[in-house]
Amino acid sequence: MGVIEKFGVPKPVSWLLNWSRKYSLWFFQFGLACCAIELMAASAPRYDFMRFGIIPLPASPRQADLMVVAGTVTDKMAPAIKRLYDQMPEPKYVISMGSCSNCGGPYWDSYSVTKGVDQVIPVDVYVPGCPPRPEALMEGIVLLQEQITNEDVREKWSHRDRQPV
Amino acid sequence: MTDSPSKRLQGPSGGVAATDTADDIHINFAERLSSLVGAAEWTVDHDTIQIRVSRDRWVETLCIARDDGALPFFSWLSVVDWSKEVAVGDPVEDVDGLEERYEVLARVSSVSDAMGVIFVATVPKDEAWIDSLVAVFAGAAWHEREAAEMFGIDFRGHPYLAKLYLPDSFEGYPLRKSFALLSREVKPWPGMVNVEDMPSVENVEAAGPEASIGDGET
Repeated sequence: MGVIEKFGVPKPVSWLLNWSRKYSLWFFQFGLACCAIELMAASAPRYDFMRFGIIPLPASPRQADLMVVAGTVTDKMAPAIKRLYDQMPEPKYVISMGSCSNCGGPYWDSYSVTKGVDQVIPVDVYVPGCPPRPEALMEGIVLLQEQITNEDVREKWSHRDRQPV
Repeated sequence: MTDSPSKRLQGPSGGVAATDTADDIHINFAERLSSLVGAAEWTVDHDTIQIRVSRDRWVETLCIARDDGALPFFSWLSVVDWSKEVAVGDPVEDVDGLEERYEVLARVSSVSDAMGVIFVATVPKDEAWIDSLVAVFAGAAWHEREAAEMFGIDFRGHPYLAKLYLPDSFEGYPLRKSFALLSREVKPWPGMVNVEDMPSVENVEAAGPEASIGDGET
C-alpha cells in the first residue's frame, strides 16, 4: 500500500486490477421501495446481472463493493444508510436508483423524505426512472464498470474521505 | 358523510341516517349502540356508522362498546384537523361555517360479522388532549403515538408517547393543516405537468390498430 501511494501503479497492473475488480462487484442491496422490485427483476434469470459480474447478497456490507440504494430515503432511514456505507470497505461504489433516491422524486416536498441520497453518501452513478426498468439499472452498472476501468488505482485508494454533496 | 344532500331520517334518539344509502340493519344497530353508550348524535351512511361522544366519556364509551356492544376488535384510531387556515393545498371553502377543532376517530368492529362503528370525539384546538385508550385496547398504543406525533394531540395516560415514525429530533406536527412544507416555500407545487390524456376508446381507434398493441411491450 505504501509503495502504491509513493510510486503509483504501472499501467498494466492498474489495468489488471481494475479489470478484475469491475467484474466482481459484490453488491449490497438497499431496497427501500418499489425500485427494489425492479432490482430483484434485474437479478432474476430474465435480466440476470450476474453475467456482468454483479454478485448479489453478501452476508454483510463489510463484504460488499457496491451499494445500490433503490427507493425512497427518509430522514429516519438516512443515518442507517450512512452507517452501513461506512462499514463497506474501500474501494466502494454507490448507485442511486430511481427518482426518489436521486432527488426526492415525487416526494420532493415531503416533510419526511431526504432530497436525494447524495446528501448522505457520495454517489457514483444515478439511474433515473420511477422506477427504472432493469435495463436502465444494467446501463448504470455498465457505466460504473466503465468508470472503474479508467480509474487510477492510486487516486481511488487514497481518496478515503469523499464527502456527500 | 353527514354533508351529503340526500334525504335524512331523524331517528328517535337524535341520529341522522341518509335514507337512500342506509339500511335498517345499520340504523337499528346505530340506534341501539348509541343508547347503550349514552350518546345522542349518530349518523349512518351505507355501512359507515359514526357515533359522536364527548371527550370526557371517550374511554368509558369504547369500554362499553367492547364489552357490551359486541365490538371487540380495534381497527384504527386517527385524527382530523378542522382548521380555517391551510398552509398547503386548496383553501377551505366554507370558512365561516367551520368550527375549528380536532376530531379523534376510533373504529371498532365485530369479529363475527361486518358491523363496525366509528366513534368521534371533538377536541378543542387550544387544549389538544384526550384520554388514552391503551387501557381498553392495548393495540391503540401505536395509533396514538402516530396521532400524537402527526397532530400534536396529547393522549393522557399513554405509557410511552414517543415518536413512532418521525426522527426523534423532528419539530412540528406535519399532518396539521398549519404545517408548512419547506420545499414548497422555496418552489410552489408545479401542479399537473406533462400529463398525457388517458387513452380512451376513441383515441385508440383513431390511431389505428398498430397503436393499441406493443406500446409497453418492447
